[in-house]
Amino acid sequence: MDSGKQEVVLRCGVCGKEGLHELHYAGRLLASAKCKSCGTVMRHTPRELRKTYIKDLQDRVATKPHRLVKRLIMEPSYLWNGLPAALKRQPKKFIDEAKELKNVEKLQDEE
Amino acid sequence: MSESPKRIAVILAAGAGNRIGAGINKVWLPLGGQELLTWSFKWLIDTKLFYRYVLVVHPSEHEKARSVLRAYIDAPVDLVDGGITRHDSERHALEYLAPAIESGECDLVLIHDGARPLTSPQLISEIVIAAETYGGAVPSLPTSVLTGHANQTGEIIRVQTPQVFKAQPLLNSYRKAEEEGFQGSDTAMCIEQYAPELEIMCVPGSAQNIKVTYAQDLILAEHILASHHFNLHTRSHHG
Repeated sequence: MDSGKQEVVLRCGVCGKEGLHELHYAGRLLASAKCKSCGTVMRHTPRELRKTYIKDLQDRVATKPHRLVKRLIMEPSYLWNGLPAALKRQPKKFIDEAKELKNVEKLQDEE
Repeated sequence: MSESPKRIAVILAAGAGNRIGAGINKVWLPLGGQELLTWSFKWLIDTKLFYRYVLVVHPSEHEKARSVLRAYIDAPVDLVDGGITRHDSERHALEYLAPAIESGECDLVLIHDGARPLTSPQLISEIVIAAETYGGAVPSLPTSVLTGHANQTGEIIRVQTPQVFKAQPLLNSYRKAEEEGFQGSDTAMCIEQYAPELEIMCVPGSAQNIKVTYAQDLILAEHILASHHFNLHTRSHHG
């Protein structure tokens, strides 16, 4: 599934308003969430995010064959109308995830 | 528990949190590499207690729902249009199921919030068993805030989902509510109003059965899933 950046309505724990939040993902992990009403940004510390990301990446790699087989059993057509495009997207996906990790570090440094 | 399942699970995902009209419905947010909504289906299907599933979504999200279900859910799921309120969405689902309920094909209906992705199969089973015994069952936790619900001992509680009820009284209650213009904030409230004879058992809920409301709930949900190795059948390494 596409993750990257998402916008969604959530309640802010700081201003208390139900409003739009901008979410950034690094792989399967939510890297940061910004309340667009009050500007509050909630994020992991860079160290924590990196550690969790590496652990999660190991799990993603280890479970990929099983997940892929399961997906193909449920949706065989994915083999020709989904998988080739997904494979092509992989390098960019990992580069984007690395960039997102860097962004979190940069934002932390700026604070 | 009866041998042949005559139970249907209804998942509400019509996007009440999306009233502002911007952003995506939170049930489609990524959580642990797949859409948040799919986790609820996974735990429900794993119990093997239901023969049919209904997903209530906004009419504009049918295509999205079909695509997600095709990728992750290996079970029969019917899509039903949601209403303006949660109560309306429940009513739409129950009217859709009316032929199955009235013919006796379905005798128990579970109603669950799609924004609660961490309801364990164990909790689902406990609620179903209690509902089969008493007529209705809800998971609840003690609270210090007045919520308008009290359990069997009069203690003030906050209720969660899934909520499970005998199908016919549930359908009748929503039909009476429609006639009188009543809107309940949850399923149990409508039952209390129109089927007071039906006993509702409060089963201990779970603190981890969170409803994704705040941004931090997403991080908490990720952490809980990861600590269970993405399998709520297992105990976390935290015990």
